[in-house]
Amino acid sequence: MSLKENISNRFDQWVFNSYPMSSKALGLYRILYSIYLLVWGIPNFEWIADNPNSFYNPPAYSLGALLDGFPPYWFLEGLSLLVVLLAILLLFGWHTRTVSILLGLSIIVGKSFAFSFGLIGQDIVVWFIPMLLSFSNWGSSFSIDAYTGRTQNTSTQYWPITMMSLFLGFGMFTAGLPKLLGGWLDPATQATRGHFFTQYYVIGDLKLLAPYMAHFTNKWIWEMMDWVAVLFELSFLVAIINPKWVRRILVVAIIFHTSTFMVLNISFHFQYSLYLLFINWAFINDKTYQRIGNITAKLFNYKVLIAFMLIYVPLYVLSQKFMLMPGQLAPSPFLLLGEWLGADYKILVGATALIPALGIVAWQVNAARNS
Amino acid sequence: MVAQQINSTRRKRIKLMFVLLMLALPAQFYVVYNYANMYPCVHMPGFRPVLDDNEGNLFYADTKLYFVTADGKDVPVLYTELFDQLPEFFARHTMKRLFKYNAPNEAIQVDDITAQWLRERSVTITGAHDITALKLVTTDYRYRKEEPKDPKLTTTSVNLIPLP
Repeated sequence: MSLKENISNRFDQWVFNSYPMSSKALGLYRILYSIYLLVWGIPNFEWIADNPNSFYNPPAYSLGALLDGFPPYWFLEGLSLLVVLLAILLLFGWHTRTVSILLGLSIIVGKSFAFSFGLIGQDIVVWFIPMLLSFSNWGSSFSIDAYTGRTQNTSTQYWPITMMSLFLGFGMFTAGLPKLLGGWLDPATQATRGHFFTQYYVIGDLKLLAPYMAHFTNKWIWEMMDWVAVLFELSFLVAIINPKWVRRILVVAIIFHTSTFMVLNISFHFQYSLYLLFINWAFINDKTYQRIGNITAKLFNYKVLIAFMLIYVPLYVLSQKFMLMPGQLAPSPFLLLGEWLGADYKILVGATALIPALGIVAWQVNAARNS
Repeated sequence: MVAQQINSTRRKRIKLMFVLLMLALPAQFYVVYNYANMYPCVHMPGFRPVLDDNEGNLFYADTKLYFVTADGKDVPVLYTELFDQLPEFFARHTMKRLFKYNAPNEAIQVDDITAQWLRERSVTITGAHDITALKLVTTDYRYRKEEPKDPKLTTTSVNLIPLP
C-alpha cells in the first residue's frame, strides 16, 4: 500500500468510523440532549429586543451583519417560542430530521443577534449538534417516528460525530491560543490569579471555594493552573485524531470545569451535552436499552406529547415573564422554582449540571476499566 | 450495529467538507492572533502580564457608575441595573465597549442615541428627572510586593458623559 493510499485510508477511517453509535445509542443521546435543553436552559432571544441599536455590533461575517439593528420583539419572541416547541418535538422524536434542522437553524439565527453585542459566547459549538446529528439518523429509535413506523431504517452515520469533535477542537484552540500568546506560560506571571481577582473583586459575590482562594498565595500552584488551562485547551486539537484520546481528555475537561466552577463560579454546563456525544456508547447493554424502549414506547405518543406541551410551554412563558435576570439560556421552570425557594441561580445551575457531568466521568472510567 | 452505506460520490463530498474545515484552521489562527494583538487586554484576560513580581503592575480595573444630579449629587448605579436587559456577562462587555472600561484616561464619547437612551434609563432607575451626566469612577488595583494578599487602590479617574 502506497503512502498516499495509507493516508487516504486512515483519513477515511477517521471521518467515517471514529465514533460508532447504534441507532439505539443515538436515540438515547437525542433524548438526553433534549432533556438537557429543557432542564438547563433553552436559548432565549427576547432580551435582545430591549436594547438600543447603538449597542448593535455584529461580527463582520454573520447573519446579523445583513441588518442595521436588532430585529423587532415579536420576531425574537416568536423565535424563542419556536425553539421551545422544536426542543419538545426533538425529545419525542416527531419528524426528527426536519425538526433537528429547524431547531439548529432557529438557534443559529437567534444567536447571530445575541452575539451582536461585540461578544461571541462560548456555547456556540453546542448549537451545531441538532443540525449535524440530523444526518446521523438519531430519530430512528426511541421516537414517535420509530413507534408509528414512519422511520424503519435504523442504519446510522458516524461522520457528524467526528465533525462535532473537529468543532470542539477548534473551539478549544480558539480559547487556548490567546492565552499561549499572552504569556500564560511565563512563570513570572500568574494569569489565572489575575483573572480570579477581577472576578472576585469586580464582579464580587463569588461563593464555594472563592473566598478561600482569594487568600491563597502559593505562586506555583497558581502558575500550575495557568499551564493546565493552556495545555488542556490546546491539546484538544491534537486529541481529536484518536477517539480514545478524546475520551481521556474529556475526563480531564470535566475535572477542569468542576474546579473552574468551584473557584470562579463559572459553569460550563452547556458543554456537558457535547461531551456526552463522545463517550463509549458500546458499554450500554441490551437490557438497559430494553428498559428504555419499554418506557419510551409507553410515553412517546401524540397524547403525551400534547399533554407535555400544554404543561411545559405555559410554564416556560410564565417563567420568562417573571424571571429575575435576563440570560442567553432561559432557565427551565424547574430551576426557577429552585431560585424562588432561595437558591443562588448561578450555583444551582452549575451544581445540578455537575451530576450528569460526574456521571460521564464514572461511565468513562468504568468503560476504560472493562475494555 | 448497522452503519449506513454511503455511496462513493457522497463519501467524497463529506471528505471534501472535512478537508475544507481543516484548511480553515490556519485562517482561524491568523484571525485569533491578529485580534488578540489588536485588542491586547480589553478582550483577552491574561493578555497582559498579570500579577508578576514587578511592583506597580496593574492587574485589574474596577469601574463604578454614578448618575449626577443637577445639584452635583452622585447617585450610584450598578452596571447590571443600567443594562438590565442584558445577561451579566454581556452587560459587562457592553459597558467596556461603550464606556471604554479599560481605558479610563481616554475621553468618553457616546453617540446621541446612546446618550438619549442613558437619559431614559436614568429616569427609569432613579425616578429623578434632573440627571445631567453619567459619571464613571475607575479604580486601578496594582500589585504591591509588601502586601500581595491585599491589592491596593492607587489611581482613580473620573469621566463624565453629559446627558441631554
